[in-house]
Amino acid sequence: MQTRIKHILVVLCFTVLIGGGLFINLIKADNEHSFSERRNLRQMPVFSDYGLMDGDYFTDLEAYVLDQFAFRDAFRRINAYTRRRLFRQTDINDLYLIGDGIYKMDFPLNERSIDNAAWLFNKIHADYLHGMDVYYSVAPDKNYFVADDHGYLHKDYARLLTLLEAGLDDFDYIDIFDALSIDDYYRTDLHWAQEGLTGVASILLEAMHREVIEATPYEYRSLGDFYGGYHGQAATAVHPDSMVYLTNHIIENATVYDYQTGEYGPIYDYEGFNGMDGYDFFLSGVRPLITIENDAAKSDAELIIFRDSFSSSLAPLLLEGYSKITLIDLRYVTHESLDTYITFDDQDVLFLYSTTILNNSWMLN
Amino acid sequence: MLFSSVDFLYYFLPVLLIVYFTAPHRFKNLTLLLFSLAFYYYGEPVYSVLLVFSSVSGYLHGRMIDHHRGTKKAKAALVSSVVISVGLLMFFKYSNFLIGNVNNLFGSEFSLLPFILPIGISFYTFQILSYTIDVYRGTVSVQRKLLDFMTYVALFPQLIAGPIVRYKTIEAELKGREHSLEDVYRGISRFVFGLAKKVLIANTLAEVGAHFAGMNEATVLFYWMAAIAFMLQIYYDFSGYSDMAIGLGRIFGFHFLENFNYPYIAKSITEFWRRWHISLGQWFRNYVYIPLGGNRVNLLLWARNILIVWFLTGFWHGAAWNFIVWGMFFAVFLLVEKFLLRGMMERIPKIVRHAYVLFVVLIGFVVFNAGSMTEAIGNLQGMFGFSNIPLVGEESLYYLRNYLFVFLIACVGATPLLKDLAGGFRRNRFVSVSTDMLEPALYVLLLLMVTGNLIDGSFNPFLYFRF
Repeated sequence: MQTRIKHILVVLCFTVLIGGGLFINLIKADNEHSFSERRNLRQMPVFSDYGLMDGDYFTDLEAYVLDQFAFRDAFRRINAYTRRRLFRQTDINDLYLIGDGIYKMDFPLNERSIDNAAWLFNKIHADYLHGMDVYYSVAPDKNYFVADDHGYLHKDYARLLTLLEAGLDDFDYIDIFDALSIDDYYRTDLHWAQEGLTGVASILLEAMHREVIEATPYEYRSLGDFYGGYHGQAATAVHPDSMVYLTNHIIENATVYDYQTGEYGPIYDYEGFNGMDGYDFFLSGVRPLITIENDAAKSDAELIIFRDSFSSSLAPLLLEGYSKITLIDLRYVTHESLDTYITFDDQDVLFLYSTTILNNSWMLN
Repeated sequence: MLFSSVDFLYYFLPVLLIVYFTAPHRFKNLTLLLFSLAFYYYGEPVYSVLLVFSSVSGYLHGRMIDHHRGTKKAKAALVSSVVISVGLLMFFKYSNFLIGNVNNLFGSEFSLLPFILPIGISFYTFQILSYTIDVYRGTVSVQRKLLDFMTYVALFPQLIAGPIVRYKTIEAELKGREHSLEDVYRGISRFVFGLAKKVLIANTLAEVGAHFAGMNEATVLFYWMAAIAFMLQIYYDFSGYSDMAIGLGRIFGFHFLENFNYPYIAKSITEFWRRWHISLGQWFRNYVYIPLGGNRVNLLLWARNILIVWFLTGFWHGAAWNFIVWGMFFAVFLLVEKFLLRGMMERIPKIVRHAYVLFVVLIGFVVFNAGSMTEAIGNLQGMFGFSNIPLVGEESLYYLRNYLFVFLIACVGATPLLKDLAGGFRRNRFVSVSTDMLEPALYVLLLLMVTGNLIDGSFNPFLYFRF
């Protein structure tokens, strides 16, 4: 009797699970995006005779089924839990946890990529920046602060800086490594947090000879919980960050001109915070070419930043020293077309890239 | 379609179960055939025609052999069946290997044929051959219903990755089979365990191989880790697939024979091959080794028979030299065991024999897993320190730490230790009742973990594309 009950229970559990899975997935409406994974989800593939014959249709269907599976996030959390707890794996897809912080291994140092970045920066210098004050700085990724102490694989940061220094001609280096600690980064995201960047901003301004005598104090405001990009990728329950931003009358009155849309907007984008990536709050996220205009500036000095996303939260803190800051993201605009939009004159120029982008510099155009 | 896919688990299988178990008895084989063809079409649309052609060919040849039984025409029909089946296999699987070697040897520039290997062709070809040969031998009755014969050939549980089910194993069940709650229960439990072996263990071990392929620092440790990981991966992958096939067959009332029996506890290479891919070993034994005379011939012919069988075994696994070398590598050890160590093996301490088997099998799989003989030699050089590389490095130590627990679980799971322990515990009535009650929860848990792994898009390789 006991055996028969077991048989019934096993058969029942199995059929309910796979039958229930079928039923729920059939009636469930498809989602367009995954907010936790920060990506668009695959939609039902378009049926075609050719796709049916060569198998492409089924390949697409398989991808669609995986993306649209009911309780997808919950299942991803089960997988992460299995790997961490049962298999005792120290990382999952290169993502690892230390306390409540999520990190992504980025190694080894790709020396060819660093050389490529140096080559590109030199070319831009030669093409546009002759006679101008040109600086470069490097934002360390989070691994710099924790990976070595906790036994995770990481780049050789000293070698990265040495290679860059050796490769760049007529650039002045501004070291910001010592102005940062792991507490200056979001726990659930790859980026640094703006509230930890005042020291970095001061170092940069000072190095570019834009000392601020009477800095306008910042007001620290909180937007609430922020789940960074690593949070969704890691599929692990950790406490959210709190997104704090700095503001003052200079920042509030400054405007951002987007060369792509030809429109003006604010520095801080509240809609962006509630979008796919909360970090888009700063300068509305991905923008190939923008200029922040600061009418309240005490000087006419202008700054051009060749940048990645790390500069989005930093640039507002540099406004104190400049009337205009132009931000160029070479991932989305090619350097050959820059003089179509920008007149290179006597601006200060800063190349500010994170170690992650420098190590994958092929994405810079 | 793979068993280890969300499409199969949550769409194909539940729909099939509903249709199959609600269909009248006389439509059950038709249901299985149609779903099996759909299963194959999902992964190999174009080659579905080849599967149908091979099935029909096998069926017609069986009928001809039976019709002309006792005459030369029966033998001609058998030869025709073998020529067509082996010819198709040779054409699709081995022609590019042949062309490549001719080009290398004579400097010619014949173009390679623009074909990919049809999935499962090696398995279903051997099934069809076993049928026509057995019909010729009179050991099985001819199948007069095309539908039932096609169901046998295309039966999805064993279609793409085995085991190689001989016709006589399921001859009676094709005609009529009982469906019982116990069979469904046993089928489900076997399927879920096989699925967990494949998805949770084999796929995780496969990641070590992927890290090894993209390694930034070559170390002796990394070469050994990759070799051991593959040795465990292929066992969990292949035996997991066999478990799933046997389990699915059982759900639908078929009783396939076992395909793996803890091969890594073997104490000789001879024993290893009695425990590893049993259905293939038996196929070669029944249709090649014994017809050649087996061991009932003089020593020289016996050695020849062993060499032929192991050449074919290696070649069956893939159209490349490393597979042939792999087969012949085992042939050498089998010859040594049979001719030189006969009677001596028993006197060697068990632990030494275990170590010997594991070492030989490990080296064999390094050759098996390589893309070419050059790569295989390079990997062996790396393992034994002939590549002027350090013993350990930061990266290899990191990955050892990252996958250590999976290695340990996989090593323990490759022995009957847990099964024996469970059997021992079950003799206690209280434990027996408790485990019975917990068993359904265990399967649910495993299914949820597997689903999580699949949905997260984790590494899910298919090892049999070269078979």
